[in-house]
Amino acid sequence: MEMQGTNLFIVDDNKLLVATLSQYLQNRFGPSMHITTFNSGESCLEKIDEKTDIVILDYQMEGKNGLEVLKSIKAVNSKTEVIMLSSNEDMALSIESFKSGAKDYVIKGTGSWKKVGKLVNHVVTAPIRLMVKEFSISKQLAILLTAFIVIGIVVFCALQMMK
Amino acid sequence: MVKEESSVKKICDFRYLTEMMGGKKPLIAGIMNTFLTQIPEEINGINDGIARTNYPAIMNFSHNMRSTVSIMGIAVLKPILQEMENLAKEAMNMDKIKELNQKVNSLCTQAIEEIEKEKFNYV
Repeated sequence: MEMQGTNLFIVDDNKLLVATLSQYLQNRFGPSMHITTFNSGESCLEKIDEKTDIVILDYQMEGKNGLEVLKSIKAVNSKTEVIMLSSNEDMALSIESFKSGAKDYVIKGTGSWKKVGKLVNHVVTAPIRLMVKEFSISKQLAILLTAFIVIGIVVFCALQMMK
Repeated sequence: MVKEESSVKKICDFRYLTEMMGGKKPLIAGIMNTFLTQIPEEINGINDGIARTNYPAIMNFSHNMRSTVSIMGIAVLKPILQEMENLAKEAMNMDKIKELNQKVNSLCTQAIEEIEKEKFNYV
């Protein structure tokens, strides 16, 4: 049975960066964040499906570059949010990334992980913002309702497993 | 005259890494170990690229190393690696690349020594 939570992929050929960023996000979001890491775009594309919520994607990699991988991800699942990571302050590349459906383009360096964390949080809390906007309820009530729904799903799944 | 250890200016700054890892010592030690495994591979990659006049390899390894050193807060290496990457991208001035690489090798050796000592504080 699939576990509830957020499925996040990190794709970068720098193993140190992948290890550090995944630890940071796991610390920040806890066990509900299911993180899978890849060292190439090709290996990531083999695993992308409709359950992939977020992909943090490096631009400069051996084999397919980040932009090519971004387009392939969007072709498989247009709802997957993709955050591009790059060491290059290249305006044309960032514009091209946005045009291809990237949620944001983050320059690697001091402070970049915090920005990635904020962007991931923005995706994770999207249902709460939707409730606030669509049903004109307070943010606190939306969080409470979301918590009830999540707990309900967990209890339902647990009961199903016990049968 | 023997130079005292304390007079050598440290080039690593672990504040950002510590903050990002939430101060959890085992995680920080793990990241340090990954760095100590990875950085020699990247140094060898650049050295090998220079020996073979392989500009794309020099560009890729110096690019990757920029991210690697930023995690350990080695700010002094970033502009050197950036310049090396730019020269390699244009496939020009191998003499300058070699000069920059000497600095990279020397600074990386110092960083490795610092981290080898520092990691025992995180066990």
